[in-house]
Amino acid sequence: MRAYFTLVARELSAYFASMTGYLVISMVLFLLGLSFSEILHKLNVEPTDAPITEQFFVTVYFWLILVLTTPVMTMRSFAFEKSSGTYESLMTAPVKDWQVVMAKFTGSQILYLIAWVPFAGYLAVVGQYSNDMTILTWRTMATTFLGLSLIGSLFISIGCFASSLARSPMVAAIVSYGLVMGLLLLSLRSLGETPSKGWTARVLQYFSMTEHMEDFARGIVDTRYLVLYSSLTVFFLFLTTKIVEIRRWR
Amino acid sequence: MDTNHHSQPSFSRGQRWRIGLSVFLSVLSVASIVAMANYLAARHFRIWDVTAEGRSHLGPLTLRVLGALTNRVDVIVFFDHSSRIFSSVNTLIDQMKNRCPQLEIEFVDYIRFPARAEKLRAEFNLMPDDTGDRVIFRGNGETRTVYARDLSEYDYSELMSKREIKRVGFKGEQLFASALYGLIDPRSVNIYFLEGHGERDPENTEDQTGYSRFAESLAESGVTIKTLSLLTNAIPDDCRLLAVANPSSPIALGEIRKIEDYLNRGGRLLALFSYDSVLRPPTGLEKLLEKWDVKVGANSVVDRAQGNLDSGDALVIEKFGNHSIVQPLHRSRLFMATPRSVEPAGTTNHEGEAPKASPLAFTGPEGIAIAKDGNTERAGAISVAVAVEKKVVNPADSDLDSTRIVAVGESLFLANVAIDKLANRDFGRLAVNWLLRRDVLLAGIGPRAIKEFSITMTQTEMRTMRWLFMGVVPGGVFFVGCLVWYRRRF
Repeated sequence: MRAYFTLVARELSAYFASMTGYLVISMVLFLLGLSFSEILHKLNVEPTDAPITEQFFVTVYFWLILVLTTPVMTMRSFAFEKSSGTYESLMTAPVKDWQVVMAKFTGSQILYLIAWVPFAGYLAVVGQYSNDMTILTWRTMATTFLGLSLIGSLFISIGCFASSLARSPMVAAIVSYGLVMGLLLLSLRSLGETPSKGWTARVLQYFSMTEHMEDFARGIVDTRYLVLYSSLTVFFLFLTTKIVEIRRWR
Repeated sequence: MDTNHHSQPSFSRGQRWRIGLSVFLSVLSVASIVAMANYLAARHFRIWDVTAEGRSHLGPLTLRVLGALTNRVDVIVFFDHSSRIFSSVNTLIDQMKNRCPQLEIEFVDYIRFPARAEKLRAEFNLMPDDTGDRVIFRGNGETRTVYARDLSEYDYSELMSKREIKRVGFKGEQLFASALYGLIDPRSVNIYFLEGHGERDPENTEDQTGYSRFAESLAESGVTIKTLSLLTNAIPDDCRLLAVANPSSPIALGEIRKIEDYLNRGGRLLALFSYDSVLRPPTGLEKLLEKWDVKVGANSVVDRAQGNLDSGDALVIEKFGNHSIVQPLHRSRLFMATPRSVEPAGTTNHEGEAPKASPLAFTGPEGIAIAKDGNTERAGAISVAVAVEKKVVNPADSDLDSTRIVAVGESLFLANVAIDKLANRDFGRLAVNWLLRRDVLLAGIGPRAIKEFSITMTQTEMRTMRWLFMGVVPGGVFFVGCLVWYRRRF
């Protein structure tokens, strides 16, 4: 496990010793700020019966944050190592392939969670100006962060997979963006006239991340969502490990 | 150094194929495990609502109704998705779906998808320009509709002082469960409106006197509305409720006897009066009701506190009795034209099998009953509506094991012009449900409280927040990043 933690620390220091980590966090904060300004304006004009956590996830900014930032976070994980020539030395170090994959995944996940920490502060600030303090409760905050973490895990695992496929970080980001966007489009059933009943509708609903996130933000924890995100994350990490192993077959 | 030139493959072609196949099979296995895990998760799931108030819990009676559904029920949520109430409807429908796989849900935003909306309008015989938000339940060959306008409960207490009406309750669970119950138990329920004495007409669409909107509202809850003349006919056996809505001429003795006989057999009566009937000869219904512990005053009721003594303005009722009909209305108000007093007569002993009248709605403490000669009859809180119940010994039909009567001193409040004022429609529906004994199942499903959140910020505070959120915080992090980059580079 020591090797794993060493690799995680290496990943994190790579983020924070370069501009990448700060750029990602400031991008997340800017989009969060945009979103909160809109919510503040809306709540100041008209009361609403939805808790503030729910208000946030129905805006486009949340999904913009996920779609834009996770590929940037993960693009460097394998592709940058390959393009800078450090990949072989990493892979010939006395660590297992899955440890490398898990360390890169964990490093990106920690950066992702750090980027979301100010979100709690923003919510608290809005809560201070509310007519009712129950606009924000720690329980809904907890489930909201659970949802954020699960969806983030999936997107990061997809990003790691894309990065393991590519030699250039830019290509990795584009592949990752395409995969994430495709998955998200499955969720946005309201954009087009998709089947609204039958088994197709049920499958689409099962994958509907927007609906899942709304539930998390309302304080609802559903075992289906836990299984879906965990299993898909494991699946993409497994694929990534297999891609990383390819070099051994040559 | 050109390493490619000297590199030898580590594995033969055959070995590489075997490894490739092994990887393919392992990926396939993991994909299958993921698919199976999700398939099982979709079929056997658990949901936890961690909020303290349990906003997502369905009541036991709703669960009972959902559990009783054995056939598929189509639920069409015909809603503008930007509507304020849509979020509550969506949440509730999802909760019901999670509990009952027989529900087949379709969300139709008629603003964004007019073609689909058009098809549905044709399917359900709606008018082409009908854009009222509604939820349609269809199953067992029956259809029930719940309208968005009925889903909210309002608090009018600040209407006068702040010109503000607050939405305080969401009645979706009660109404959706009621609609679903109507599909499970689609027995035909007939309500007969008495005619021949100048009564309100359920087919009349005129604003002032017509009852067509009230009749439509009843029809949507699975009731068949018919009219009945008692001159030559008896009250049919399939009559589950007789409505006598403001007769303006006397009802013949023979007809009164038929009504009395019907009530003695466990019949249900909705009797509505109006202040102008005081000036005409008694209809005969007043005397009949006295035998059922109801006294209909020959007066008109006003409320000094509302300043409507001379003007004949509407009376707003906000005091309700302790009866299941009006329990859901305790934060609501009724809008009535000057009613007659209707109160328990106190002529029967309330023991054994005697009918028992309970007051439903009162004026405030400054109410006055004015006799037809213009003199004040009495003052104080005056009842304008009552409900009566009496058990029937050895009923012929188990559905008719008790006689039930609702008498109201006013009838205009359910006419087309006034039915949507304040909680009039709710009162009408609740009274009819009680008379039809539909309360047995649904009485326990109360509205969910709605909390409305807002913030109060000045323009300056808003500007400061905007700068903080969009400028200072992200800019600060970016600046730190630049410093780190600068120190490493130079």
